[in-house]
Amino acid sequence: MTGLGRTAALAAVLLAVTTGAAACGGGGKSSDGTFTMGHSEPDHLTPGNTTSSYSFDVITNLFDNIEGLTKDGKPYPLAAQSVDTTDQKTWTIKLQPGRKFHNGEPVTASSFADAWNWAAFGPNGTQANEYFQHVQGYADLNPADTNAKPKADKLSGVQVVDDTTLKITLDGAFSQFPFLLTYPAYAPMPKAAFKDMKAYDDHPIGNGPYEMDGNWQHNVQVKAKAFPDYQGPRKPHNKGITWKSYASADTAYTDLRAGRIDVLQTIPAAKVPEAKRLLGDRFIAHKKSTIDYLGFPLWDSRYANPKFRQAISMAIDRQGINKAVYNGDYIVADSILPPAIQGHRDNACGELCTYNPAKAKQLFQEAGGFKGSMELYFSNAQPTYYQWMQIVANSLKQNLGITDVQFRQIPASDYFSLLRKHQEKGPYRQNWEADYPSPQNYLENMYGPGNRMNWNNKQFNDLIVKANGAPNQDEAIKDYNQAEDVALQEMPQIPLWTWAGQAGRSSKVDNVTITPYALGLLVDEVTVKK
Amino acid sequence: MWRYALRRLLQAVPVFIGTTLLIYLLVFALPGDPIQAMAGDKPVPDTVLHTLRERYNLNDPLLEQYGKYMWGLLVHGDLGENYDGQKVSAMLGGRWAVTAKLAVTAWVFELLLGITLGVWAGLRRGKLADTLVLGGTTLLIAVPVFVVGYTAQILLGVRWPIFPSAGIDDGWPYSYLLPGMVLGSFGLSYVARLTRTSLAENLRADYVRTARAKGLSRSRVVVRHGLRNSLIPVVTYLGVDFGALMGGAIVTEGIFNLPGVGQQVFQSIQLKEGPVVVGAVTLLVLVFILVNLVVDLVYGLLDPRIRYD
Repeated sequence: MTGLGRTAALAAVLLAVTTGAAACGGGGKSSDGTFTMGHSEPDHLTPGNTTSSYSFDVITNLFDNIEGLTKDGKPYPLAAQSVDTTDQKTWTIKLQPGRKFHNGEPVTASSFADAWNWAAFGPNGTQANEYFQHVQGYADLNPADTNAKPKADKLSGVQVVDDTTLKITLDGAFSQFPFLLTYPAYAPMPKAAFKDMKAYDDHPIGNGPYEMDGNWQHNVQVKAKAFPDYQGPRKPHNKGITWKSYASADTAYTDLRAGRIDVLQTIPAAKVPEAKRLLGDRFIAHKKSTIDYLGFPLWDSRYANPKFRQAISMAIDRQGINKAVYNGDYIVADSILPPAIQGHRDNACGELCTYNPAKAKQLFQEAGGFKGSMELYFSNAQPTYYQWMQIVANSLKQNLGITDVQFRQIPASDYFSLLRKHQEKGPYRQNWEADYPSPQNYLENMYGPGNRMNWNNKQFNDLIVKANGAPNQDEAIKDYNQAEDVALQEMPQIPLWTWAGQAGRSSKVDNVTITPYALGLLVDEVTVKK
Repeated sequence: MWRYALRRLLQAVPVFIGTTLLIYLLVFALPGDPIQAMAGDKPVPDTVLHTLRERYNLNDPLLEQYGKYMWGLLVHGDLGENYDGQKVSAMLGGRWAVTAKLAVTAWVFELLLGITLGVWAGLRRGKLADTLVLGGTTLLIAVPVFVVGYTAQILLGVRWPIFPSAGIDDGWPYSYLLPGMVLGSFGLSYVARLTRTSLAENLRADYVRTARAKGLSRSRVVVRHGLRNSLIPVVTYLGVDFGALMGGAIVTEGIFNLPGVGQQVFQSIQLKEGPVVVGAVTLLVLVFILVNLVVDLVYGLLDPRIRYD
């Protein structure tokens, strides 16, 4: 090789390495009438196969369930004309006639039945399987012995009477069934879905106000456009929406500032003061239904005395923590239910949730004090958990004289497995976000039989059964509230605070309403400036 | 030379098997149950857990799992699925393109600007240019990449929006310029310093004096005699660095919301998604092997005294 040849070869090698790896990618700016939302990547877009709120943000706009939710969290018939019952156990659903899926297929009673059967069938391994457990026949699809073959592949409680009529039989009276029908897993699916469920997950075909605009581009975006043949009440006021995936909330916030996205549902906590200043009236404070608790492992005899648990509750300065950790934006809990949920009563918890070191000390001594070390469990999902746990630990030291407090910070991916297996050895952080805005969703899931604390109270369980069988919502709420009072007195789990939502919008969009429910942003109501 | 290249490529085979097994073991050793973790705090019945564990062979002993994975990979060319049922090949495919574009942008940036600055400083040793380059590169090395990243993003993406603040909407190269420069700034400093030192030293060598005495032009002396011989350490660094850049830059990808391999591996380790981690890291190992081979071959082009047997 000559000198020149070598140089040329060197250049060729560099050029090959450089160009070989680079291929062209592209994308465009959103066109008129559509807007972009900063978002986290969903896990699935098939309604029965997800419990992720990021998936719900998309799904609730692609699908119309039998029941929808109003802004204040009440169910109303959406894809249905009527939902009737006399005994809270059998329900007759009349569908709106003439409604269509995005591919032109008519929405019939079997569209719902097929979708529910698919989601509830154990071997399909869907994430939302458990949400069908109230329907009669669920056990036949999900045998207790995991190696056994299921006896049936259809829910016996779901009967297609004719094209527009469904008859649902539940395993017992359940007055809150209309709320459950708003849950995204109860959406219908067209026949086309079942030919290829994998393809459907990337391009779900629904009956809602928006239809997919191209396939889901994983980790990049989900695009949807207004469905021109939509017959329901949620007619879009814009032409479409793009949910853009962000791995970091900080970056999404930066893009909101740069005007590259129009709505951001969650501004990172550390940026909130700055966002309030920079965004002005484009900063949106909204309610949330997520509430934090501190649960006790009641199988440990040191935590078995209700007086002891009350003492801990009264030794925690909720407002102080709120100010120190959450800029004072969170809402201090005065009930097991957050304010956005029907049945919430102001100050239901009373003095038991009020900071009172002297009373706490007295109750603590009556309960016989505490021996050994107290281990506090929480996950590493948010840095704020550790911050407030430290304050709690200090309060317990100062107010109750519990000096030996240990922190157990667990990786987020293992945290819930650990709690499920009852491996925690001390009080643990717990939170609950409403699946559907009924008090039952909080009370029965967290305090009912088989709960995480191992708390078992007959009076509470009976009241829940009574409420589930109540003939109307007012009576149901009354019974749920009585059950709540029992749980508050016993305090197996201390309510701490309700989260606050902090969103922002660009000047391009208006009418941005964010609900505290699975619905999230009311996409159809957003208007886009030309 | 070709025999040498072939031998090096064959050495990649045991390395490939070793790494896949090692990574598989490591991911397996992580605590926690990936299927439970997927559901978060929402209830999942045992039938579903059982079905999913069976589907992804999680009930089998470790070596059998690894065997099934390798069988799928070698016999069917199938990288498997993550626990959401997404094909790993499809997941990584798009991400490799992003990472490759980012890595190439950063690499070209540090190569061109780094060598230029190095030559500039090397020729003016002890003068103002030298001091500026040394000071500037020291600063870039000292400041962590996330500070450089966020600062550049706020200044050049939001305050004076010359570049897109984040995302890949504008395609290559526009979307990748700013993150590429941020990512390349660290390597740039090393390349500049290596070039400067190496060049300054070689310019004092006997053969350069001889070349000058022969009456060759200054540019020919610097480029053909001085620089070429000075590039060996620089090429070594650039090669290793290209491999590292291809590994994905978790921080830079995060700041600029680029869906690249780094973020995927980071997420998948947290979710204990064995097939994804193994697939990504194995490819990465192959890239490293290949790049190092290219570097070794380039030595011969730069310095004729180096021979391959």
